[in-house]
Amino acid sequence: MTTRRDVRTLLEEAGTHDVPAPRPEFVAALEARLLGDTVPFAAPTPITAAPSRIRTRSWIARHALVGIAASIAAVVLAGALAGWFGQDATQRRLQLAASHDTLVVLPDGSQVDGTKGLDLPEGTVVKTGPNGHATIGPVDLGPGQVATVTAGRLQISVTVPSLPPVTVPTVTTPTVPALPIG
Amino acid sequence: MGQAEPVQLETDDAVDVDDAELVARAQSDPSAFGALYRKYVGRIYAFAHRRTWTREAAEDVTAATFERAYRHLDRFDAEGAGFGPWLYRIAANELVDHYRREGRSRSTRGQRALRALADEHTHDDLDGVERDGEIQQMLTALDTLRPRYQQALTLRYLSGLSADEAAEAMGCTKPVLAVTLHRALGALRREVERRDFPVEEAS
Repeated sequence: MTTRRDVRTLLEEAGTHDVPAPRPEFVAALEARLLGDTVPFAAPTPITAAPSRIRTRSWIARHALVGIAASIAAVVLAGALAGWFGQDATQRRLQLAASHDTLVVLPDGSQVDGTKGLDLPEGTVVKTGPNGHATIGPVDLGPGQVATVTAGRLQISVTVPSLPPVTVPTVTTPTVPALPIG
Repeated sequence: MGQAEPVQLETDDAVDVDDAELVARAQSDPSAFGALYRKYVGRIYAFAHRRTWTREAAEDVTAATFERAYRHLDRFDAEGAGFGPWLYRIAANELVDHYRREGRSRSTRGQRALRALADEHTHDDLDGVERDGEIQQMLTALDTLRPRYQQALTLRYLSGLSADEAAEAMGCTKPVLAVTLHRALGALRREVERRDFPVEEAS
């Protein structure tokens, strides 16, 4: 017959039984495992935890972004250039890049001195004086030249200096008597 | 078992440090948990070993106990039971889980433990072998009890906790623990009798 007292006595004996100490290597290994695992308490893993790997990923990401941005910029620039070159030539804007002793006749007939940055709309005439010059885009006008903006292009002509009047001597033709026929 | 040296329960550098303070520090300083670990690892290991009687199982339970405590340190209520009872409660739960997971034959477990005991004892200590065998058989019967009974019996009798501390670890009052223990002892006695283990009257 077993009583509660019997099992309780056995339990109390079991509770006072000498037990071997834990193995030092087990204690050390468990402590290292516990304290090496900082997940429950630590802030997010610092980037410096694995520098080479993270730096590589960062480098790839950064350069990928730069590449994408450069591609977008290239596409935009190409589009803009294509639009500029593709547009009607009459819509291009010409400007006076530099000038000296230059007269500009605007399409409405008004005349202004040529100045840097002056817009040259369609039909404008640019005239350089005897000592003047002007630069319109890649075109340089020398002294005495006239350029007309036509269809977005420059039509250049040269002014011929006027010649002195030529005196032609009067020649008197002698009268010749009529000859008898026959 | 009987020839082994008593477990060193705590380290000198942690004895005078308040547990609640260490737990608070451990929330932001993992090294503080190291102090708690060194303070209690011997006790928890001894508790687990008294229940399992094998080094391997005791190590498994000890490791699982501290890993769970470490993960759930934020759940520790400094206003409630102390860190020790809280840790023992985790260990008691791990012991229940250990035997639930193990699922090995209890008769096999008892025979293996008895062989281990016979190897450890000399022939002139046969009484000790027999008594240890009775304890082992009783602990084997303990495995079959409902988890709450196992927890109550192990915390009260195998951990070295006082009745108040065991009640705190169980999360109940001392009278409730007393009632639980009474019922648990009755269940254990019936299980021992059912198995017809040779439990003798205590002297």
